[in-house]
Amino acid sequence: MNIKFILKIIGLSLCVSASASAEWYSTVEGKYKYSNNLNNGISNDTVDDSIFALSAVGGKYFQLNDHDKLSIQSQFNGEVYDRFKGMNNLDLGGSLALTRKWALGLYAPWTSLSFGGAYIDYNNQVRSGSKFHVQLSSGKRITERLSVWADLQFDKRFTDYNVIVDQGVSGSVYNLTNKSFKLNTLYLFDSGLFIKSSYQFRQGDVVTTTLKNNANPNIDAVTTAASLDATFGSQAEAYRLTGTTHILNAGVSKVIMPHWLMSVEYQYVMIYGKGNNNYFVSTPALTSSYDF
Amino acid sequence: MNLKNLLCCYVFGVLAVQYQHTLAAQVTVSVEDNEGHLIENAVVTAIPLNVNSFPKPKPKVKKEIVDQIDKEFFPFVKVVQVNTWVNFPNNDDIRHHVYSFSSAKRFELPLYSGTHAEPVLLDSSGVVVLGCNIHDWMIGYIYISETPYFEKTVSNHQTVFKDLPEGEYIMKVWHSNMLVSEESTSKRIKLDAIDNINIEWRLTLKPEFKIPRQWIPARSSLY
Repeated sequence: MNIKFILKIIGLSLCVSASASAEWYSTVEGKYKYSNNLNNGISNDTVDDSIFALSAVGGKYFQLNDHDKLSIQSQFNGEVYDRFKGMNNLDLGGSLALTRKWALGLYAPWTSLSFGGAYIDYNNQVRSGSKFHVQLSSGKRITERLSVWADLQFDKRFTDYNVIVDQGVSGSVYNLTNKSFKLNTLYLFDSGLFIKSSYQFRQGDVVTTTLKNNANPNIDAVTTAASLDATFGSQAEAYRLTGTTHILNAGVSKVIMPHWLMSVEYQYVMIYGKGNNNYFVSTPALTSSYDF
Repeated sequence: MNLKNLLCCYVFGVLAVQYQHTLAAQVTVSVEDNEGHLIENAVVTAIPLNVNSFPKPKPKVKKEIVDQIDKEFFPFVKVVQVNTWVNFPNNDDIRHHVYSFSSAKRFELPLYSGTHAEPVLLDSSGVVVLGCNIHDWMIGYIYISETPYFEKTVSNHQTVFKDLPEGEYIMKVWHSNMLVSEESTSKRIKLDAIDNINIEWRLTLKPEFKIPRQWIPARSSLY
């Protein structure tokens, strides 16, 4: 799995997108966010940072028949970190989704199956690699103002950094496998103001980085991969372990102009790792997006 | 009949037509919101009390149009008399799937582009709410009037019924956002030949609400 494969997906997306009788969409988004626990560390071993992200999403819908549509999407995302430059990254990917609306009208339920892949290139190469996901989503507009939908996702990430370290422990910390369930709600206060919220339950691999030697003595017994992580200093080490993650998201969005949306969001992540290695992360964000 | 008689008949005829014209009364209508602003897209109807004064029309040969432009219905509110055919041309370069669940007329025009959709005969009075199954934010209304005497209000202007024949009428107003029933707006008027009447309604409207086009940025797989 490498960047060539991802580029092939994007190329295929663009070729199919070039055909007529479909609808284009594209969004450019700028985001400023702050993380109080960038390294997923235990409480006395954390660093914080501010991040500026710029992303572009472009795609096309093909309405195949009265009920089915095919969506092809390419996306680019770049992140710049204020202090920890090793975290700076570029993310380029594409996805394909087939969606069925099960009946006629505003309140008809829908189901979607999507597949996507991306290549992430970090300044600190230990994190670079490819990621893929398969997602099954289903939802319904409950009232004119309230929509709910759920996502079931399986995702895998493959690092470019495959090293065996001592005693047979893998160095491929960023080879990660996860499955998750996410419940989303969207409520429209009026035509220009809405709130989004979601809860995600995630099971699989998580990565924590200790900043100093022996900062977390509990970790050695449960880690499934380890490597040095220069992003956070010469003594920092990244560990992979299994865990359960709960992610809460809430946000308010306001339409400023017909195509311009501003959002304030807050994310709280609770990671319960094996061996009582628990991490908590707060991330407020301010987002501005423009829809073409 | 000589030339003199013919001329007399002509002059009498012209005068009769002129007189008949002056018999038509004028009713000026104002539909305001609670703050006193004239509102647009309200439908005002004048129903003669003697319902036999107009027969139910046969289906019109001429077809009315509700267009689809830039993924919106145009006009937003269309008024037609009962038994009117309505065409739904699609002027976008994408396909639409127009439907109505309204009791006045249930119909569905499966996915189409251009002018390929069959016209729809609106054969009962009432309100038809239009939607597009592909673009949830697209919404439009067709008011199907039982009477031929109807007007739609425009922004910041009073609305005038110019040619109402002499007689008694029930006048009503409908708006897509009004909080009361159309029946509760009924006003009875009696028009003499040369009447000039002003009628006002003040409506409490629920706040305008429309599903926004861009509700989720990453919307590829969502409806």
